[in-house]
Amino acid sequence: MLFNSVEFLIFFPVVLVLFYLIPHRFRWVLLLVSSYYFYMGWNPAYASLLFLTTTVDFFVANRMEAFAEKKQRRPWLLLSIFFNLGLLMYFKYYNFFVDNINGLSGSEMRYMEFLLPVGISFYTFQEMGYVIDVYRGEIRAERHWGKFAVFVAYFPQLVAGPIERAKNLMHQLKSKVVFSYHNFSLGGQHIIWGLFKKVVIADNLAVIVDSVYSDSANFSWLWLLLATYLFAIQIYCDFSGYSDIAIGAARMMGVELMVNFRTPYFSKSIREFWSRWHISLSTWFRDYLYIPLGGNRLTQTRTTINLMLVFVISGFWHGAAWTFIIWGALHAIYLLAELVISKFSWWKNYMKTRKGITHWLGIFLVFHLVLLGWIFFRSDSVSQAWQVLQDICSMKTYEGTLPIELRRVGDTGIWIKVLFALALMLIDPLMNKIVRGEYHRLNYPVKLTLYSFLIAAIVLFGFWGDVAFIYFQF
Amino acid sequence: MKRLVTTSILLALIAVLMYISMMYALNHISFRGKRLALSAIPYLQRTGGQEEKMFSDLVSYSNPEIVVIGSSHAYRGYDPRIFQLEELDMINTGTSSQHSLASYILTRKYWNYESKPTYIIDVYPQVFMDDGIECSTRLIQNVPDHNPAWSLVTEDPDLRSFNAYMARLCCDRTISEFSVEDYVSRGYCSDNDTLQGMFPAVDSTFVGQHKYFDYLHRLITYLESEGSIVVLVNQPMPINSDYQKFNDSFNKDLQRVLDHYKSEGFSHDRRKVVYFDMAQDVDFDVCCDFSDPKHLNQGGVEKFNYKLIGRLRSEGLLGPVSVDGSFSMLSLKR
Repeated sequence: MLFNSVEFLIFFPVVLVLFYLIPHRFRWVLLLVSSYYFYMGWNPAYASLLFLTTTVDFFVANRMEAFAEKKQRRPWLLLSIFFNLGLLMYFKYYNFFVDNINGLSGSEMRYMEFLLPVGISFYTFQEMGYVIDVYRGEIRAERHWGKFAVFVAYFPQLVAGPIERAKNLMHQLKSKVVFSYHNFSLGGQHIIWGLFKKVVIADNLAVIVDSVYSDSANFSWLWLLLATYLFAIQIYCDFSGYSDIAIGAARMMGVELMVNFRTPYFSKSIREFWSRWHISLSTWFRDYLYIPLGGNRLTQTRTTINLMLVFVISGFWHGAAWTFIIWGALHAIYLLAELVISKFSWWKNYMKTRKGITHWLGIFLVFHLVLLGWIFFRSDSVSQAWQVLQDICSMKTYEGTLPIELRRVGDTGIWIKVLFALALMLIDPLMNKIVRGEYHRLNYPVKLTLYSFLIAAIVLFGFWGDVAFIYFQF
Repeated sequence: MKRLVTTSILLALIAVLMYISMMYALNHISFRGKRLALSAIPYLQRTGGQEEKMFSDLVSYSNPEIVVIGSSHAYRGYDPRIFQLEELDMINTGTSSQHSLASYILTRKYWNYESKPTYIIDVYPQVFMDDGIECSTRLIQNVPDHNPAWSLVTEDPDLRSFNAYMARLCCDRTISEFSVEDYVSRGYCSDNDTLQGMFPAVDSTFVGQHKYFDYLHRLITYLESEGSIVVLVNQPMPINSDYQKFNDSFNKDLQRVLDHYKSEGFSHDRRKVVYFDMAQDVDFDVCCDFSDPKHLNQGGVEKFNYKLIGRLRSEGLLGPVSVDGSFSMLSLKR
């Protein structure tokens, strides 16, 4: 079930009403049933996978707690990690490995024909985080299977995050929630803003980006550049839009999910970018992989290896393709370069600036470094990404006719979409403050008018149809 | 709770006002000779084109012998002039990507005649797969009356159709925003191009939309109950083994619709519902009978139409069903 679908428009209010009508002690049942119903909207069979991982990790965590020593807990931890990663490898990466083995050895291993279970990368990581926390003794294992299952399958963030920590989410799910106007108001604001970013901005831009990238050889460098810029905005609006809707939906049920984006394109360094983009994933990798590997506390070589490893794995997490691996490696290289220059005093001064030309030049530069990565992220193959890069750099011209999708949109339509996208990027920092309730200068009538405009725009300009969120494929 | 209800109502009211204002403004402000709504609102279609010409030609047409219903396969595949040469009075009501829901609504409103014509429903598998929004939005802009336009919104609720309907109310529909050069008459458009070179292979499996088979069933039942003969035709497509598989799986779904008439007493024995699957007819040449990978050209249409007319005649499918279930063979009598 998509957030931007009529089904969700019916499903969510029904769940919400029932949530506040039934007594607190039965709410976990409602959340569990509705979460599985939500998930089964894609493929009912994959709910069994969700059930299986939940049960295994529930059992493992409880077994671990029976032992006081980490040494005794370790086999159970390894069991859980192998199981979760095994599933992920099988369902997400099997065909990638077969493809590469066949390509290298000339063998003809058979591909598996199945659809990737939606959200598998998200919920397996959330569960692994939980098991590791129990192993470290940072949290107690949940004794109630049903409540643990709600933590894993909680529908607002099940399929595309934020990847929550048990420390943050579990106790909130158990707390008694009473109706609060404040929660409804903030939740509603998040949902409206998230939906606007998704259906008005991201899905409208997707028409241009998809047309260009599906046939990139037949476009001039200007089109390729425009499509790449627009993809940067599209993926941000798509993913942060999803996160906002998830945060808003949870908030209406009294749960505060972690913030996943903080205007990342206004970052002055790549390091800062990663502290503002997909925060739940980058902090997951930091806490459960980078720091255990030694982080930057060891030698320069080890730090280099650690960073490279974490970002390549992060890229691979996004998708089973070399394009994602290169995207991850590229960001690791950026960070390593930053590590080197961060020792200079001018860098420290630069990072302190909050205005002026240096400040904006830094943001401009970082945005374009990120943009370079997006070319690999968006391309279907490394060769396509390379071709796009070459065509942009050589300012390739192309005189052919535009594809039917773009001709339908028309020149004016394209400009309108571009203007909407630019306007969004400009108002995004302020809107983020408003939806989080951190900006208090707007009075009630102005706020009401603002959100009414957003609702009208969603209905009027929304690219309605069966358009899934980009991160569902991960 | 009271505050939440008040805020929600106010929010909804202001949003409605803003929506109407924006819709009105976008439909009344032009940029480069085009109303802005067409550029800003996704899926919105222009007024004019084949649909507008077809409706202005046919809405007042009375008592034809044959009515063709369907998508572009219909309006590019059945030439009234050829039928006329064979002394058959035919009209072509096809519109772009017309799905069976739209066919059902339009037939009830415009194409039901006392003459009990034979209805040829062109079934093009792809139309049963699409989301149907292109068809609905085009028709909503161009259908002469508000009622069928509104039915298209309510029968298959979708914000895109709703926006199209609102735009219909706001814009000046007397202005034709685009024209078709290949329109001939009585709904028919001809195409003389020839498919050259390779055409893309079909790589999709057929996954039809249940609702469109349901509406096809409703349409056939309606026409049957009015006493007309219904002939389903799947017209020739370029020979292709992938398309053959695709078409076979479509036929399985279609058979479920046809089976209804057996169980409900409208049996094939009385031959009131007949299906001609000519999709992979070997008589049609990829090189010279098609204008593109999906449509016949004028040469192909002539070949196809004569073949179809011959078949309709030989199987006695022209003319109304008499009370006792036999057929008055209008064309053969001539």
